[in-house]
Amino acid sequence: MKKIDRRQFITYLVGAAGAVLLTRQALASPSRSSPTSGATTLLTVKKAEPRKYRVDGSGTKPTEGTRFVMVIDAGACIGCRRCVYACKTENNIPDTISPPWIEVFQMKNEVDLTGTPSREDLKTGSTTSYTESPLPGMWYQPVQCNHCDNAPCVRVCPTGATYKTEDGFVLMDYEKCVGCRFCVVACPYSARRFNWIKPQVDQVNVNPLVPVRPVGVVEKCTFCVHRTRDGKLPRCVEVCPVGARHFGNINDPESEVAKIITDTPNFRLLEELNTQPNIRYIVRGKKYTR
Amino acid sequence: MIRRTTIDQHEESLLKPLLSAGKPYLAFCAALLLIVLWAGYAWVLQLTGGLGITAMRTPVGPAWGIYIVNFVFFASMAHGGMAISAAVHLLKAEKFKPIARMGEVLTIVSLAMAGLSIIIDMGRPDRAFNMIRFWPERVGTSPLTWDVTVIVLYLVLSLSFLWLTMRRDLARLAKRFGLRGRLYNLLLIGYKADEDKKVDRLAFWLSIAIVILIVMLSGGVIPWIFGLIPAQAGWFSAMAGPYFLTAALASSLAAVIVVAVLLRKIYHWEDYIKPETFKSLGILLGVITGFYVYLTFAEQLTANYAAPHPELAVSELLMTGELAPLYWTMIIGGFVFPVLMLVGQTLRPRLFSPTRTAIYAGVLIIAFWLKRFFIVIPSLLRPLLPFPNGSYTPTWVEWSIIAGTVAAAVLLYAIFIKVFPIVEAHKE
Repeated sequence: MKKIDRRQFITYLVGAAGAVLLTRQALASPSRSSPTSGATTLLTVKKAEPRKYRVDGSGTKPTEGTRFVMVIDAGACIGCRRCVYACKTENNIPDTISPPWIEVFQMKNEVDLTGTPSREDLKTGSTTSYTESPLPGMWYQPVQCNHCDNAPCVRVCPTGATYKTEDGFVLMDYEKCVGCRFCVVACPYSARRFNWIKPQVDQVNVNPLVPVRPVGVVEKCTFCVHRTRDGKLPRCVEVCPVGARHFGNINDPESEVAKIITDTPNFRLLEELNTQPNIRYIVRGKKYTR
Repeated sequence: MIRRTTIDQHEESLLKPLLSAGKPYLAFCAALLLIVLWAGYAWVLQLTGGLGITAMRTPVGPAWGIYIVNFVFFASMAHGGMAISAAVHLLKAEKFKPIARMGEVLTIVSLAMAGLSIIIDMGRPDRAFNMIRFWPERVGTSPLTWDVTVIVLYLVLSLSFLWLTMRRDLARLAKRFGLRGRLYNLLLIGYKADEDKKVDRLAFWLSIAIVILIVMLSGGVIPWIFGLIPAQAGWFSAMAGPYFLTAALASSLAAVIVVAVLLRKIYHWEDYIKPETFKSLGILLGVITGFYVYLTFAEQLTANYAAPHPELAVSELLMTGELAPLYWTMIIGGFVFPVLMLVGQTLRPRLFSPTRTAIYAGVLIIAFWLKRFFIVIPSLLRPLLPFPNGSYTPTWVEWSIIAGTVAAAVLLYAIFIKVFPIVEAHKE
C-alpha cells in the first residue's frame, strides 16, 4: 500500500468533497444548466433521477443484482457536446486523445436514425470538431463505449487487461495492458482510444478518483465506474441540458431505464454484429429546434 | 553407414563460405549493420517518445500500421524453407536437397523478425512478458495468444530440426576449424556416429509436425487475427485462412529461390545446384501465385457485387480511391506479369534461366509485402461508424524500422553462412 502524504490527502479530500458538492448542486436544480431561451419545452423534459438503482456505495466492488444500462434519446440530443467536454474533465482525458471518449455524430440522415449508419453518412463522414448546433435537418447521435455483453475487445485481449464485470462494465487494467491495440481494431464502434504519447493532464484540475493513464496503453469510457458504483450518475448523464441521457439498473423494474425500455421502441448500434451493447437509443422526436 | 575419410574437391567447394571472408562480404555486412543501427536509433526515439512518432492514429486513421504488415510478411516468409525440407524428408524429393538448409535458415531468421515486429508495434514492450504470464487464461479466446503459441512452437521445432540434421556435418568439420570447432563441439554434445539413422527417422516425424504447424500458423492463427474480426469490413471472411496460406507459400518460396540463386552465383555452385531445381520451383511459384491472383479477384468481386456498404467502401479505396494507383501497379506489375513469365517458362524453355526466375521471385516478394499493406490498412481507414475519413502515410521512423528488420534478417543470414555449413556437405 502506497503511503499518502498530507498534501495528497488534502487534494483527495478537496476533490472528493468538490465532486459531492457539485453532484448535489447539479441534481438539486436540474434547470440550471439548460440553455437560456426557448427552453420552455426543455424544462418539461423529465430530468434523469439519481439513486434509482441500489448500490452498496463502496465504489469499488459490484453490488449483487445490479446491471447498468444507458439510454440515449437521439431525438432529443441537440449536439451541444457538453457530455464530451464534461467527460473529458471528469476522466482526466488529455488533449492528445482526440476525439475524447464520447463522439457526437452529426448525421444527415434521410433514412431515419437506425443502428446502422447510411451509406451517405459513412461517405461524408461526421465532424469531430464542434462548431454550431443544432443545425436544421441534422440528427445528433452520441457514441461511446457500449459496454457490450458479448464484447469483442474482451475476447481478443492477450493479457486480460480489459474485462467484463458482473454489473455490466467493460473496464481496463492500465497496468496489465501491453498496448497491442488488438481491442482497438476489434471494436466495431471505434470506442477505444490509445495513448500514442505520454498524456499531459493539468495537475491542478486532475480528478483524483480517476487514474491518469501511462503512455502506451488503451483507454475508453468506463460508464464513470468511480461514480456509478457509488450511486451517482455518469458525468455525461448529469450534464446533459436536455435530459437526453438516462442511466440506471436494468434489473430493477422500477428504474427509469427499465421503464423507458419497456415503453419506448429502441435500438442498439450495429445490432447485427451480436455484440449485445448496453447503450440503447430511442428517438422520441425532436424536442428542440432553432 | 560408412564415412569417407577424405574430403574431395566437390565437398571442398561446398565449404567455400566457411573458408574465406572477402572484402566485399565485410563491406556488405558493414552496410547492413549501419542500417540496423539506424533503425535501432529510430526505435529508441519511439520507445522514449511513444508511438505518437508513427503515423498510426485512432479512431481517425489506422490503429495498426506497417509494423503489423511487416509481422504478417515475415511470419509467412517462414514457410517455404520448411515446406521444402519437409518435402525432402517426406517425399524423398532429392532434387531439392541442396537448397533445403538454405530454406530452414530462412525460416528461423524470418520467425525472429516476425516476433520482433510484434514487440516493436507494442505500446508497452516492457510488459511483453504479460502475454506469457497470462497465457493460461487467454489462450482460450485471444488470436494473438494463439499466434505467440504457434510461433514459439514453430521456432522450437525448426531450430531442433536444423540442429539435428546439421550435427553430422558439424561432426566432420569440428576438427578443421579452431574457434568455430569449439562451437561445433558444444552443439555436438552427446554425438555418436550411429545417431544419423535415428536422426533421419526423427527428421521424418518432425517434418510431419512442421507441415501441420505451417497450416496452423499461416492458414490458421495469423489469418484469424483478421478473419475473425467483424468490426473491420474487408477482414471478416472465412476465406482469410486459405488466402493467407496461399500468400505465405508463394512469398516464402520466392524468398528461397532468391537466396538459393544468389548463393549459387556467389559461390559458383552451378554443378551442385542444377538449373532444373529452379525451373520446377519457378513453375510452382507461378502456379501458386496465379491461384492467389484468382483469390484476390474473388474477394474483390464479393466486395463489389451486392455487398454491404462498409465492404464496398473498403474496396472502393483500393479500386478507385487514393490507394488505387499503387494497388493496380502491384496487381499488374507485381503479380500478373511475374506469373505470366514464370508459367511461360514451361511453354518456352528458351525463356528460362535461374537469374530470371530469381528476378521475378524478387518482384513477387515486394508485391506480397505491399499486398499485406492493402489487407491491413484500408479496412482500418473505413470504420463502421461515420468518423471522418483518415489516411496513412508512414513516417521516416516506421520506414527506418522496417528497413532495419529486413537488414537484420539479411545480416543474420550472412553471419550464419560464415559460421555453419549452409549446404549439407556430406555424401550419402
